[in-house]
Amino acid sequence: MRAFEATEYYFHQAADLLDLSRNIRALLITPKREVQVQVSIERDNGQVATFIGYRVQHDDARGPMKGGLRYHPDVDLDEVRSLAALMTWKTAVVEIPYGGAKGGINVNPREMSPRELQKITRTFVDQIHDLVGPDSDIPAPDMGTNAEVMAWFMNQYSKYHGFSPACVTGKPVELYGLPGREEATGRGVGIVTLKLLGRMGRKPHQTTVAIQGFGNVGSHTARFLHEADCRVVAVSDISGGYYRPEGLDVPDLIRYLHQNNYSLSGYPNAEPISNEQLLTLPVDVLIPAALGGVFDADLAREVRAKAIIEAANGPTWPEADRVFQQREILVFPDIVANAGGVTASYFEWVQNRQHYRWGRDRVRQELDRIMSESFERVWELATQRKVSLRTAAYILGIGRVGRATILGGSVT
Amino acid sequence: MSTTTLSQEVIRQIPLFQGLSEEEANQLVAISQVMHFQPGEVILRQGGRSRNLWVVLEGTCEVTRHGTDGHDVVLATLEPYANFGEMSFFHAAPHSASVRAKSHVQLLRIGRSDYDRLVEQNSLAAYKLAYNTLDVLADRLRHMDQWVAQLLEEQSDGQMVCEWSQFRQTLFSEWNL
Repeated sequence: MRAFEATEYYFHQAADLLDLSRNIRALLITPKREVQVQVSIERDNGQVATFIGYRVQHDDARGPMKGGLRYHPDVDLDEVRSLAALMTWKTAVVEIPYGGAKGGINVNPREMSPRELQKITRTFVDQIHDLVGPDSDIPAPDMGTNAEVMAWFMNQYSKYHGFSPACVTGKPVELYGLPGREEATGRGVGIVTLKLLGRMGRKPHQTTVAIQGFGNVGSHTARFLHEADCRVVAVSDISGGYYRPEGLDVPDLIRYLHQNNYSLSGYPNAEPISNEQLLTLPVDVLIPAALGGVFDADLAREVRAKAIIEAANGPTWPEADRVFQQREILVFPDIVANAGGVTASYFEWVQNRQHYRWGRDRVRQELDRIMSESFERVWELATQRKVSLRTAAYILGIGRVGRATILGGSVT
Repeated sequence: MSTTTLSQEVIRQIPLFQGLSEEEANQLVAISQVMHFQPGEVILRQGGRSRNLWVVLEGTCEVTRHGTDGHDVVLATLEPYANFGEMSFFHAAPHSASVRAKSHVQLLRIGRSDYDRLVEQNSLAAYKLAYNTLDVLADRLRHMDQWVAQLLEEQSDGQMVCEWSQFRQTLFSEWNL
């Protein structure tokens, strides 16, 4: 099983509870459209390189389709297809008016110069510009892409269709981007963490937190929780883990990160630990904010946290999920926990369409409201129907997509 | 039961006797019996094993089949000159349905052993009867095919409506969250 395949497993878990027939499941899972295109460029060294670009548009019953565009050598159709479906449930569960999509190019961005990446991006836009757009499918940054790539995308798309800032989100703040877009996923993770602590009857200042991953999501989550009075006792990045039982000085960590070429390597004010050690620390809350597929059944038995917030996509294998359930460790699922990013993307799109600009405070306020409401709905459903938080989230998402499909009458 | 004489007028109306000369028809009539039944009397019982070919001369009969759910289903009503029993007559198997007199009826009956004797004599009449039966059966099979096709279509439509409305029911009532 590859990490993204867990998504389908969790879908079926919820579908079983809803007692959906095989045909209805096929209707919900089958993507609306899958596109594969040739992306050929002349490289800086004069050689011709050909890559494959994908865009899978899963479902548009609830609105224009939304999802990231990733540049990674392992990108293939199966992965993109599965992640596109995940976006459909994610946008539905936080109730923003979007469907789901995903795309990617099987290129290793680390091996490409900025010039080559720009050529690749523009060529990809040339190939798919007729199939995407502000009213149909709106890409966003993902693994291996960033605000700059989105700026190229927008610029190339606008050559075909006229000025269209709303055709992608996650653009640079100076170029129709959203102030607060970068912190949004981490902030959303922080908000649901505080809500969960409230339900567990714990005060933030009594709470210890460990975060795996200190990139965009992990660092912003750490800062938010630190400011909310939680004790962030451990973080990690590719260089290893950093532990301080009485609580890390998160602003100091972030300063160090920025001065040290975005690596925590050699951070002096903490005890170095391994990534594995971090995941089994006796903390209250454990937040995987790096890769998918982190927890297998064995590791799940070693985890000593009381709650897990899935900031990364798909960190928990189904077998591990069962272990967590047996051990009564609360798992707050990825499709809600990390939905702050797509929610901020929605705000960016709204502003682009209105040619208006919100301040950072309004972005935060609206984001806090949507994340809090989503948390409450998921918690309420899980409690009422005695299902896991993950199954509750999928049922909410699938239910909303299903109702939109029925109301739209698209099956005749 | 009585020894049989049928007018030429009646003989011409019987589909099974089509294309037979007067002499050939008389050969068949000679081996048949005319029988009478009162309303409600059972002539053939589903599962029974008699081997007679019957032609309705007067009155009406009802063909019924005992369903697996315990109810009798009326398959057809037989008017004068229609025939029945031909399946068991040519193919030794239990009757697929029951036939009951709906009114006072007069029937013509040909027994298989009498018919076999005619065949042994190389009677053209016997072969023509078989041909005519084949014609009737082929026509019935054609209707049956259409009926089955229609039934299958209705059934699959029914399933789709059911599946879709069940989905609607699930999401708008039980799980309307």
